Amino acid sequence: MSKLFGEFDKLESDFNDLTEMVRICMTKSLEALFLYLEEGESERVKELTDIVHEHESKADGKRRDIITSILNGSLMPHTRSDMLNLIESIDDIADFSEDIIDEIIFLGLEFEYLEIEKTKEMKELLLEQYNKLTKGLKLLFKDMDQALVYAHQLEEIESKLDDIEEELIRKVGQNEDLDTASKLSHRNLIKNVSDLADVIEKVGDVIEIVISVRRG
Amino acid sequence: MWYLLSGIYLGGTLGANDAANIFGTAVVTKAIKFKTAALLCIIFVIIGSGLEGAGGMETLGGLAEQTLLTAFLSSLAAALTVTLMTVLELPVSTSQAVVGAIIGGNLLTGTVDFTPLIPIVLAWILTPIGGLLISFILYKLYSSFIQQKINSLKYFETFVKVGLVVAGIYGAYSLGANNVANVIGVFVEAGMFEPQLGGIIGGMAIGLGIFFSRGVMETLGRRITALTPLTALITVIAHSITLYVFARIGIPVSSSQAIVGAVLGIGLVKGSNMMDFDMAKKILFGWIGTPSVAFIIGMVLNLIFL
Repeated sequence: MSKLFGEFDKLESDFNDLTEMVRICMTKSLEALFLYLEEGESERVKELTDIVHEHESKADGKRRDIITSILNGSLMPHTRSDMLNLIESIDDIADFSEDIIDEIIFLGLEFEYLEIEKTKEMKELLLEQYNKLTKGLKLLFKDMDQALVYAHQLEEIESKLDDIEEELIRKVGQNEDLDTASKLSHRNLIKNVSDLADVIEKVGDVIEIVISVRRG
Repeated sequence: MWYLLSGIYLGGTLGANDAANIFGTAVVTKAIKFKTAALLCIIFVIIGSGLEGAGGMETLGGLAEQTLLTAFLSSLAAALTVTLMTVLELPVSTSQAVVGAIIGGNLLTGTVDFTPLIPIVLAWILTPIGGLLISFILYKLYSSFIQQKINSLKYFETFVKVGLVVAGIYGAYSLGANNVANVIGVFVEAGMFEPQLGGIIGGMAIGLGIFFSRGVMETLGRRITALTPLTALITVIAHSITLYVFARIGIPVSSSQAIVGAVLGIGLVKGSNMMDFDMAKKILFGWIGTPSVAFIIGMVLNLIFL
């Protein structure tokens, strides 16, 4: 029994480490994005993207460690499979965050007509959504009912981000100063930021499934 | 003593098949290792057989007067039926095969008493219904009283793992108490043993089969586990309670049909109909097909050897 408890305690601690690495990867990616919008590909942007890459790699390493630990442990097959899904979905957040910043820097895109304030609002919502995700994940190991509450809140925030996304993309579409290529690159950036909320929400979906299976 | 060989053979097939319903889920979910599960199963099957197996022996004994030869032939007919149907991959119940074999093997000698047949058949029909009702009630009780108390992954997993082992032990006891009569009842009726000693010997015969149950345990265990961890646990407990109730009543029933009923009970709580045509066909075949085949084999053996 103590072996099983110990295994869960280690899993909980590993998840905390993983979510922290992913959090740094995501927040630095968003910081780099807004800095890039203000000053282009500066030294500071480069520093931030290096941090993003570093933490994405760390998260990958942690993910592998956790998988090995789960496969060598004595969890029930259902729990193994659920935990592996959860890890993969958390890791997707880091991958997606890295892709967002890499894409605009590698392509050297410019976004002169982007509504910065509204886009920042999206960023704040993303950070709030991620905070709720980490709380939900912690609670999964202690209080599944509360974890479910947080998982539902992730959907609500994702929905708010969808609304802002639509509003911003419509404005880009109506802007007569932009050519089609610029409109598409603006749309792509807005959509990528909004899609990050979908990736976070998917972790919430996995949490809901984990709990539903245990509710019979 | 060689007459007992057919009983040991039958006990072996019963153990190999039915231990899977009891410990299959616990083994597949890694709550317990196969060797430990097999050992616990054997110990508690023998205890259940020795302590509470007599009721079923009396019921089966009441179906026909037995000599050592007719007991041997009835038991052999039942064992051959179980083997044949397992090879043909048809659903089979040892309890139902034994009843068909006893009647088929003794009909021509004119010693069959059909009176106990009514409660026996009634018990067959009530087995899946009992499993259904018990799992329904257990699920409701769990949702109302226990769910809130094990509201974390850690406690839930521990609850299920410990529960599966405890349910397995209880299931093994119930299987011994209920099904040992299938193995040894005719020999006790023939005067070979006193019921308690017969129970212990019958339990040991079942235990022999349990050693060879690994494959069936993994196959059936995976099927039951495919539900969810909680419903798998409730299914195993409901199955064990059903077997135990019928052991107290004194009628051997089908372990597999108790499991099917328990699964249906879970479906009932969830508002989904888990009964399909294939499942209904299997239950019906168990009630009619298995005893009919055993009846024919029993009669043929009787014509050849008596």
